[in-house]
Amino acid sequence: MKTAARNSTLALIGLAGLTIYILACTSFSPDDSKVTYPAFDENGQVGIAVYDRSERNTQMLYLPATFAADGTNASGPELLRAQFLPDGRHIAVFSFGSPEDSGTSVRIAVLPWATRTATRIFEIPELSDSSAAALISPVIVGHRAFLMGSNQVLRLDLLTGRLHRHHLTEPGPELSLYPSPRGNTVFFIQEAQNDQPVRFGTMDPESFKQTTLMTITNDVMEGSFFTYNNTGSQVALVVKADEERRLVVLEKGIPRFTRTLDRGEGKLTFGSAVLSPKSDFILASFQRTPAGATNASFGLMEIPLSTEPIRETLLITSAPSGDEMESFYFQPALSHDGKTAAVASTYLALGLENLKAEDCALFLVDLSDRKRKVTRVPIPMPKERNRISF
Amino acid sequence: MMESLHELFGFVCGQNPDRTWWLAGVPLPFCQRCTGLYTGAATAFILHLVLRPILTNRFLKVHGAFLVFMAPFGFHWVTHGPMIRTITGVLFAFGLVAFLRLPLLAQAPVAGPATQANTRFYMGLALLLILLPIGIQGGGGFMAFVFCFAGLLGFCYLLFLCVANIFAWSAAAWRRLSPMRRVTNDGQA
Repeated sequence: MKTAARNSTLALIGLAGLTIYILACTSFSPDDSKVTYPAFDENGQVGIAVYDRSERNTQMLYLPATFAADGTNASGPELLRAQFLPDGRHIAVFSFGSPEDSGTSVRIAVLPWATRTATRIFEIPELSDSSAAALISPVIVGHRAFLMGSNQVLRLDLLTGRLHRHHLTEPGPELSLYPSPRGNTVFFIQEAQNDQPVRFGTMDPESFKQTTLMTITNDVMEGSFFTYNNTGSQVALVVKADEERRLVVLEKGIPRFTRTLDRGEGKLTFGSAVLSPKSDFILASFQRTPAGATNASFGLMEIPLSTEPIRETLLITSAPSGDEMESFYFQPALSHDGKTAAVASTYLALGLENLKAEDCALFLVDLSDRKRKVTRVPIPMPKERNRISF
Repeated sequence: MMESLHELFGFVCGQNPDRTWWLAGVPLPFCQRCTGLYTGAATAFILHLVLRPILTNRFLKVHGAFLVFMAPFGFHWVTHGPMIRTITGVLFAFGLVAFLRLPLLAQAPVAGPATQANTRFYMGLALLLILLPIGIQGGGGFMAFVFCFAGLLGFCYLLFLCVANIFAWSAAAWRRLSPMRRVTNDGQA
């Protein structure tokens, strides 16, 4: 009996070990080991590079160049946004054209990563407003991208190229589509019109059915961020009240949590924000210009959804600034485990003529480190670079 | 067939393409560590079947160490490369197979010295650890087939061991409960 009990115990240990092994193996995916970001090549063209955090090296992956019919130089830099697909074997790159270009087309390149499959390139014209879409992360569910057309929602299968157009029958202002943090659904915002407030909800990726989660009547501050949790039950934004900038967290349209961000001195605008996986803090990129100053600072702000103090990590100080909207081009991403934040200043370098070379970089911030260690991956700035105006 | 294997192993392996061996231009259906795990399990199955090593206390302690040895590498406490991943997988598989076989055997661990069979068993393990890198570096379609076949065999064997153990525990629990039910039913022992 003693032997049998010992044998059973050892077998149980083996079974437990195998279970832990299998669970660990399926979670060691490439998601947090690689970071895609915009970077320059030696000719000043903007492309998409991939930084390998474990190998600590960078590989330029995608470099588009569009020539004008009567010119020999490539036209203005394109706004590029790249994202790994959930399978970890493809990277989708969305090109929205130069900000000066009021075109409404988007080009999507699906690049194989560590696999030998074809590169697919899609060009889709006549989107509702590609320049606005460029400021939002791509909306991807599985391997399908969602885009807003003129009174229609487009669903593009990035692996097969199949395109489906869903015509919207409900009247009202156009929708803006937003990605879900876990990439399993689509969120939308419908702007206010007449007496109708701003509407926030989900769109079923299969049926396109819209479900309103809440209406937002708050007077949102200019330069605010807008973020939400994976179910859309919580929404966070910034309002200005009594000269204070305040964070407001809404649940079903009702404020459940507020806290003061600052006393409203100087200028403060946000690029974008993400809610942590545990919904315990918000990570936002910001641009701050003190009252009377001409230089701005850019950094990351960790806003706990509690009474814990707000923490700011400055990444760029004393940057020559003239326009608050520059913060839109300084948008962070959060790793799936919530421990690392990444943000690149490539487009700031295109818009700010005198940005210092050392400030043009991919910044990786270790949020698990008490001192918030910052790893700076330099993005070499070419001497000549096409400029963009914000 | 490769697609079916990819789909099957997708349930138990992350199949990280950056950490998967590519043979003949095609990724194996399991990652580098799982390559070691499943080929190791297949090899352990064959070695146990053919050589029938004696399960001495030392034998079990060595295989227990194989299990523990995985921890610093599996949890990434120690930086390591692709071949180490595979080797740790092999050792882990040998530990797993030894422990999971125990309840299914009639023999109890003995405290005696290692026999010739045990020596040959360890030589078989050493041979696998030598041939594995050669096979991987050599590549080719034939090796890809060998690894896939061995991987599938190892997976099936581990699955069998897990199911057999669960069945054995269930049977033992039932036997323990049965006398108590007889007392309850007729009030007599």
